[in-house]
Amino acid sequence: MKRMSKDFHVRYENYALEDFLADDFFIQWVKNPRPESEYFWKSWLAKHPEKTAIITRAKTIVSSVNYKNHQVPSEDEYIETLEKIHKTYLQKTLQKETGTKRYFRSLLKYAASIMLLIATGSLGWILYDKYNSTRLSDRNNQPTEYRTKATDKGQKSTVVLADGSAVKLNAQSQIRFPEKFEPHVREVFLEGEAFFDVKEDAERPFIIRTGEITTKVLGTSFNIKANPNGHKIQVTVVSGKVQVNSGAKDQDASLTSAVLLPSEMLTFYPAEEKIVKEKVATHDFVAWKDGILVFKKATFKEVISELEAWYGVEISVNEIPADRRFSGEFNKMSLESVLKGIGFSLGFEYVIEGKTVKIRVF
Amino acid sequence: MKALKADFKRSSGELEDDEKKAVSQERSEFEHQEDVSIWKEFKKGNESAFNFIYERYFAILYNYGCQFTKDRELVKDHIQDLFVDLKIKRSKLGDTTSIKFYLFKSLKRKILRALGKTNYLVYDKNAYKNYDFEIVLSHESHLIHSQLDIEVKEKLEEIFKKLTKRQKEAILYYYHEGLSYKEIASLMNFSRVEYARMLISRAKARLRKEIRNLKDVFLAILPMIVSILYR
Repeated sequence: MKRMSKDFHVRYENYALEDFLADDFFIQWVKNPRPESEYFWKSWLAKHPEKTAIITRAKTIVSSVNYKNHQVPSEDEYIETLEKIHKTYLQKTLQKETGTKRYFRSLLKYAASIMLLIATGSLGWILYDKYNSTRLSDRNNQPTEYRTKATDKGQKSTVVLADGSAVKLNAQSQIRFPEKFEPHVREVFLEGEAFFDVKEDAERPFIIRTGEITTKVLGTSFNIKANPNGHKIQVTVVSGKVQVNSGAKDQDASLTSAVLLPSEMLTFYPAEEKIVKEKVATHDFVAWKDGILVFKKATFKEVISELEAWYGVEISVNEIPADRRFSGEFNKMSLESVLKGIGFSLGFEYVIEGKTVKIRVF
Repeated sequence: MKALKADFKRSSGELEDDEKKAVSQERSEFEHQEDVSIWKEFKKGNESAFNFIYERYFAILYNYGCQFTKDRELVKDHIQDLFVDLKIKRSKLGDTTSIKFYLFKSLKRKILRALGKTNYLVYDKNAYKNYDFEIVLSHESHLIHSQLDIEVKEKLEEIFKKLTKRQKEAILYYYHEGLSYKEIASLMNFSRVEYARMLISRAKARLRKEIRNLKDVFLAILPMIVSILYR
């Protein structure tokens, strides 16, 4: 640059409009200004202020060269194509992976951020887990070293994985993860409920095995819940887009498939192989991670077991009224205040004695 | 009146800047980065680098593809295909100093293949029949042009109109897309960069000559106009 700048300075002094219009260096500056060309033309113009007008004219003319048939895509075309790209990409990578282990094609996410909430039966998880761990050790000559982190009632815990991803475990949950991830996949096993903040790594998808479903992500955050008594799997999307495929374990074909958009929840009933999709308020499903206890038309029984898990207490009840339901939110409140609030609307008295609570319904 | 106009221009200019800021806030990270580093980030698996590339080039590729065929769906399908390929091969991709060129090259190949030009490497006059690549010198620029510049533009349009399809294609790569000779040669499957340079140089030589003539004529009649006006 320095070498030529002196010649250039002189060279351009006698340039007419048409000369600029045909000059490579000038045109490259107009089209792709770079620090060095910016510097050159700025200092040249500072030296030759009388040339400002001609430079401006030449610039305008060069910039006006355009396609006669200039086609502009619509906003819809822009979005739709982007969605198709993600969808096709996920399908293709999934096909590649499931070529050998295609037994439960699952949830895929592809967006900057995503939140998933999944609830499923634990029995299914145990069976699956056994099946899966034998399969895993078959596949690897060197068995992967796994670690387990579990929480009790009333506990929450955070685990940082080998790749830097963070997992926030809710009460009565368990996560099993390798000390070191395999080269092409990051795979963990979850029981209970957890909020994931996954580090982006497109080359190594992050896979969470939970009961009968597999959640596959390429990065970012979501929530998974394995409800101990549930006979269903739930996936709730807060943002982004998720593809859910489900099928019988030992069969290749996926039986059902659905695409979920933000605020949509999919409930999968394994026994009937039935899928229900609905709109939900996602906040209710992920608030726990911020210490907010949420009830939405919860039955008496659900309220009791949730409180037991949340506060780590044993609750005894004289009777369970089947017809009473409770909705409400408690933001980091003590058991005492929560019981007071719920007791008022559900109609019960309570006594707290250390780690046990006695409830008398009236 | 003059002052008012200037004020108006300034305030609307500021507004534009603010709008731009709001829109680009999210992607500002890559806004001023070189293609090389944006591409590297993308290869590393940075999703926002991918999004940035898509956002910046989708409309450009769309328009480019539409020059080969009127079938917009086909164009979109192949843009989709192109980006899916990029994502899949992400870590194995080579480096590039021009993302636009890289994308153009892949898209052109895909579209021509889809259009049944399996032998697109060979110059085939018929293959260019459906090409658009017509050139216009847009007048919609916000800058005010002198009468002379309008004539210059008209002259350029006239010159470009007379070019062959291939020359037109090259001219658009050069003047509109800002691609280098090397990139143009590659896109047009020239075996030597010099051919691209020659193709464009010939058009440029015409351009210089005709605009010079134009100005001579204009300057020659200028005293006449002035004398008529002041008579």
